[in-house]
Amino acid sequence: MEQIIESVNLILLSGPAVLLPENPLYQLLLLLLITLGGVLITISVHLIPVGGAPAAMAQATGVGTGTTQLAAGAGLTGLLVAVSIYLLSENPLLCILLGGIGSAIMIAIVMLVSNIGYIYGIGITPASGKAVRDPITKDRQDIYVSKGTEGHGIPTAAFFSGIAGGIVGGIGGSLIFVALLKATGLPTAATALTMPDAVILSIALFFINSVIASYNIGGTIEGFYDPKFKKLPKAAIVSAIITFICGILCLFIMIQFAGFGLMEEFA
Amino acid sequence: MSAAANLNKSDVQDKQNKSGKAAGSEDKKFFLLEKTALCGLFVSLAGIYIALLISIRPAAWTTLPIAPFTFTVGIGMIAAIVWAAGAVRKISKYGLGTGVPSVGMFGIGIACVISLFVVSLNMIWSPIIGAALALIIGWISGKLINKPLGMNIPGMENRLAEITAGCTLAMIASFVVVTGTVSNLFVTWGFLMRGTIALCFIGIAVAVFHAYNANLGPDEKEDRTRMLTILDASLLLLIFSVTALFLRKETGLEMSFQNMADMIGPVVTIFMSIVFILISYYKFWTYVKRDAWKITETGLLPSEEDLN
Repeated sequence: MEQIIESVNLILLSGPAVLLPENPLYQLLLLLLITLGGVLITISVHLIPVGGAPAAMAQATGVGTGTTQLAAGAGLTGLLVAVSIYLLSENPLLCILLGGIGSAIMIAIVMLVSNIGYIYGIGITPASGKAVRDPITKDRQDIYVSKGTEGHGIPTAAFFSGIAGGIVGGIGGSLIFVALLKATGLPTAATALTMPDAVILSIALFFINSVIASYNIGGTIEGFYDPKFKKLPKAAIVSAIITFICGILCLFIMIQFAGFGLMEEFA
Repeated sequence: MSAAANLNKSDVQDKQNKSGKAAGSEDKKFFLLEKTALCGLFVSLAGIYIALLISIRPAAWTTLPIAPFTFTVGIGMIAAIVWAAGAVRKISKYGLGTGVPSVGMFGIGIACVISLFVVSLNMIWSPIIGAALALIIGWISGKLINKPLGMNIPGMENRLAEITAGCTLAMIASFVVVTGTVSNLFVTWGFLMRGTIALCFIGIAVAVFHAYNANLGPDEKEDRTRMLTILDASLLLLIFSVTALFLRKETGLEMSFQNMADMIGPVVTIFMSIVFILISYYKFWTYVKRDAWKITETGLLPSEEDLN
């Protein structure tokens, strides 16, 4: 009986074992980097040509799927590249840049394959419904748009805008990942222990920010020349606030998980 | 004369009822005092705490209890998912414009961060703190999405808070189903390092948004959607309990689960989830047949002779 009471007291009164960061300024810098990464993800979703359900029926310009899925697919590829590069070379800058390029390759493949499907499968010419002339090639667009649709396929300007979006989004996701890994203060050989935490938290932040951007543009956007692109500052502010709140929690998680005696007992 | 009087009376009663309903809907209840919210919050918290307190037995590696009988947590997980899916239904009925999955992914994103945060605190109060924190952060983000972003959906804050809290409780419950505790160390080694967290992330998100996304339309009925949610959640629970069985059989948590008696929790959870799957599938099928205008058979595939 005494044992039970003792264990009850032990359980109920055991406070949180909080490990405070040794260098608060360094953690603050990392928090700002995480916030910057979140804002970059929001900008990237505004650049990618997303058509949603209408584009799946070739009735709107862009790739025929939702913002969240498209951004997450590209972002997760970038994150995969970033993780592999971080394990190969310990250079954070190289990891961030190559993460962006991995994302851009993924989004370029998606746009190319869906364009092949639109052109040779459905038989339409890629044309923008929002601009009279293509901002890059200066070709006329409005005479090629089918009646009753808002454009179809992925024209040149939207394609380049999507590649730029992929680079920006991949850089944002990899920035969050590297900042979270650096928060632990462990040597590089031990990062495999905290890698799952950093990866799952950066995926979570990626989804949060892509949904915020998706709510701002209302589901569809064509690229940097779309009138909806001017609504970007609002989404950037909201994304910065929510990523800042979540970033505090994320840094706390990384410090706790890394320093909780995992090394001594299991390594 | 009497019939006319009765008619008048019934008219008056109808009017009174309508006015009463209108007055009731004007001064709305606080959103956490609604029946679905209370049910989801308390059943899931009770499921987690019954399992944690049924055997107060601190292991050698942690001060927190490790639950052998985890089947009550399974019921708690299903209740939390049903709560969140009900909120997804209410918010998506208004029309989001970006598809139903987006709100589910937003909820699970915040829930993942919060549930890992409260687990890293290493306390017995972690589930309660997680629910409170999720309600607060979900409400703040709903307010931000409504006002500066200009979504202007009535009740966005409350519903987003409910979705976030439901996803958080479901995620903490899945930690307990698989590892048997909310301890920092066990969750890291049993859940994060083995990659179960990825399944948990996308599984709970799909269970939350799939039911309304699959059933939406003018003939959408609440009981049919809820039954499909229970079916999804039971399938997820089956996967988690099989994971828990193999996790406890192998290494990792062996130090605390040396007795065969500790395998009772996962085995009972497997059978319980199979029973839930069968019952909810049967009930969902009866609801589909009730709501369908006509059910026709498509016939067999044409044989080779017919094609020639």
